[in-house]
Parts: sequence; C-alpha cells; structure tokens
Amino acid sequence: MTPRRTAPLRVVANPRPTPLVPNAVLGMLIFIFTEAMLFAGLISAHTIARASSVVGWPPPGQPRLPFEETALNTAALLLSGVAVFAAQRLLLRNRPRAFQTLALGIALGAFFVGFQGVEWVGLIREGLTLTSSVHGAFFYLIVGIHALHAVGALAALGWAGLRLRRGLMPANSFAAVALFWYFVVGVWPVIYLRVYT
Amino acid sequence: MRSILASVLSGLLLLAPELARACAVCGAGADEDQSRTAYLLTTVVLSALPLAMLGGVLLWLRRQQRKGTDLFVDRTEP
Repeated sequence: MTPRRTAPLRVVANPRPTPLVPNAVLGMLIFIFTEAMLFAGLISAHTIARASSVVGWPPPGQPRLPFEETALNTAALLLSGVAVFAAQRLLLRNRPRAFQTLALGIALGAFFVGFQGVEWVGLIREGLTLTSSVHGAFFYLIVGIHALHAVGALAALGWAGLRLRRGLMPANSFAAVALFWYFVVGVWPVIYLRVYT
Repeated sequence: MRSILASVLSGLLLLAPELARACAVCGAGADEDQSRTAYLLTTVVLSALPLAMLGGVLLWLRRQQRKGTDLFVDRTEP
C-alpha cells in the first residue's frame, strides 16, 4: 500500500481577517460615489444649458454671481478641510488637541454655510430666484444641494466632536465622517469654477 | 390650382431639410460648436468618472494590501 501524500497542515491563528478598509469607510466611499455622480450630472446639465443659451450667460436682467466674495468663502472651506485632516492625524496621539482642531474645522465650515446664506439673501434681493431664469434655477439647485451636504456633514462632525471629547470616538468612524467632509470640500471648487464664472 | 400650389410648396420644403430640428434642445444655442463641445465634454466626464473612482479605490486597496502584512497569521508546518 503506497502512502498517501497529504497537503501540509495550515494553522490559521486568526480566522477572521482584518479588512483592508474598515466597514464604515467602505460604506462612506460607496455613498460618496453616488453623491459624486449626482453632482457630476447637475454640473453637466448646467454646462449644456449654459452652452446652449441663446441670450447669453447670465441672461439679461439677471445679476452676476459674486465670484470675488465667494473666493474668501472658498478659502474658509478649504482651510476647514485642512483642519479636519489635521484633527484626524492627531486623533490617536493627542485627543484634546484633536478636539480643538476639529472645533476649528467645524467653525470654518459653519462660516462657509452662513456666508452662503447671506449671499443668497443678497441675490434674491437683486432678483435672482429659483424661477427667474435657468441661471437662477441651476444656481440654487446646485449650490443648495451642496449646502445641504455641508450642513449634514457639519452635524456629523459635531457628533464626532462630542464623542471625541468623551473619548468614545473610534478612529474608523471618525475617518468615515471626515471622508464625507473631504468630499464636501473637494466638490466645492468644481462648483465654484463652473457655476460662478 | 390650390393642389398644384400645395405640391410646389411641399416640394420646396423638401429642398430645405436643414431647417428641421428633430431634437428640442440640439442646436438651440446661438453657437452650435460650443453646444456640441459641451455635449461631448459632459459625455466624456460622466462616462469616465465612475470608472476613475472605482479604479482609484481598487488601486488604493492594492497598495494597502502590498504595504500591509499577511491578512492571516499563517504558519505552515514542515
């Protein structure tokens, strides 16, 4: 009887492999993909409407969007993204410092949303409304959807900040929340350069 | 006489097909080249963006896997 050849014995110490990407981050990535396509669709529609406009852009009688003033707002939002990134880096090393940096990021984000509100009031007074022209409709739709995302992300960052202060914030969950804020920050320059110019 | 006139007018209309617009939005702009470029550009962006995002994440995952150690602590007995 010939001896049977058997495969070498493999002892697996950890039967549950560590995932390459935490579940929270992967879920957020999938959500961000869909949101990115939403914004891409809206900006594409805006680009086509603008290129096909017979009367010029912005249409006669409609105010020009405040490009210069919004540059300051854009800078605040970008700085906010940097602050949240710094907070994420500090999370495991220095929790109180991470909380302070996150608070700064949230404050800059809130400034961005507040400034947008003031800008909208001014534009409505000048006659740019959702129904005044295609220009107005696209402006309020795209910038409004972005503002909704910003408010949602700020609420999530606030929640993360409170948990961070109590020492209850896992790094993975914080990464997922921060990732959403990076998306809000990252999509804004595209909107700014396409819609405001 | 009326039917002859209608036939002549119909014939003349057939000679000017470029006036017909089949699409409600195509060529609606003053500058058709600009409109065409916008359609082309947005088609490219909307087609490439999902592939780029997916490709980027897969590339990042691959890099993470190469950087990290084995997923299983694996000891093979001799």
